[in-house]
Amino acid sequence: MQYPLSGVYGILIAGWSSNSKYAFLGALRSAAQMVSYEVSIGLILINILLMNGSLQIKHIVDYQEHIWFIFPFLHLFPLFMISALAETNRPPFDLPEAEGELVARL
Amino acid sequence: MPGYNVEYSSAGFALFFIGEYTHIIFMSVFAVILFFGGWQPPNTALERLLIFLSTPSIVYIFDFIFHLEYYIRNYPLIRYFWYWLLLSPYWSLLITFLKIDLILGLTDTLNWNSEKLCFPLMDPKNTNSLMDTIFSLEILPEFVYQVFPLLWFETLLGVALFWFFIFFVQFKFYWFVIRCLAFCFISYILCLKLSDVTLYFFYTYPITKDTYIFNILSDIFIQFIVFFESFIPFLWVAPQKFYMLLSNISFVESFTFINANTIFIIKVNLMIWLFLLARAALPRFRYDQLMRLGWKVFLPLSLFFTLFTATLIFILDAFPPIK
Repeated sequence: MQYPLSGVYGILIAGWSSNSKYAFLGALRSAAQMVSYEVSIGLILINILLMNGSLQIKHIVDYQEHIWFIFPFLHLFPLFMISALAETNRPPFDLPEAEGELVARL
Repeated sequence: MPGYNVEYSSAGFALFFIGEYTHIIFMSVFAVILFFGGWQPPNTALERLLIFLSTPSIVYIFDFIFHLEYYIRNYPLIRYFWYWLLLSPYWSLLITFLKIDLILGLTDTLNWNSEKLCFPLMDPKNTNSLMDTIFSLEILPEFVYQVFPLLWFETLLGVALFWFFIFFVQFKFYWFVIRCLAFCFISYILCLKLSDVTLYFFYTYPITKDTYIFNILSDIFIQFIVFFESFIPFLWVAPQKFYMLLSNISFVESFTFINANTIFIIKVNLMIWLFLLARAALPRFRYDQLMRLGWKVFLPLSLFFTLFTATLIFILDAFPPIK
């Protein structure tokens, strides 16, 4: 979970160091979006923790030897996938840097 | 992401690009580990069906059929139909065989036990640390190798570093030297054609007549050296290995025969495809819609599901063992 958080710092520093108000505002919006969706990713992760009792990668994978978690957690996967899209600032969640629609210029 | 080029120079812009795609790969790996069994082979019939339907070859074949139909219908409107016809079967079909051949070749080169279905670094019983280190290095370029045909030239800068590991690990020294020389040659062509670098892979873009033939030739050169194993006749090696696989077990079961790295990479490839499909298919949301979705829909939903899971485990008295 630390990896996405480091992305927030990267976005903020990129917006700030560009020395442009628009880019900085865009960076703030991107950071706000990433932080918002990290909450739901964290909660989804707790479901996995509850299921197998560990957050070690090897334990999580070993636990899925007989059935993958996609089947019991079918309701959580869309949530995770959409949150991951927002986390990576990929379309359709790339509004803070939508170059054709805004002047964010990030 | 394209907006970064307004504020940053080429090197900084390239770093942002690499960062974005690294992020995508990371989230895909994360999703595969959490939901798709990581490097576990598909054990149940449902899982095997899921993997079978999502293998690159199947996706590429559908992609090829779709584009063929599209281009035939719009033949009068497409200026470079024959150029497309030359390249698209390669992108659609042959690259899949090459990727599988490369992975099998790596397993042969390092004498990897293909029945060992565990991610090398994660296996506590594995004592061969040197080979694990090499394989861990090999995993990185493999990811990029899978991503490359999807993201086209965008990842070229990032890929260049990782190719070094592929060459160094997979081939004998003289092949490595030949390939390095070939790459120098290709880099030279790239520098010459830097002004119209987008034409390399987006061959449907309008191209001026004088650079048209040169584009085709340099494109084929690059693709042969990068993907076709240059001078090695992989085309008859890959079917032979497939035959060896298919002679003993069925096609679907052969996925369990391939080692854990391959399984993991195939799954990650599927996830990256989902990212790309979402980009292609969905329109942008407004910012207030994004925030509302995050805080007022996703947060309560995920909280409810967490409580639901906890309650279910409590009722069924099915607490997981403490490890």
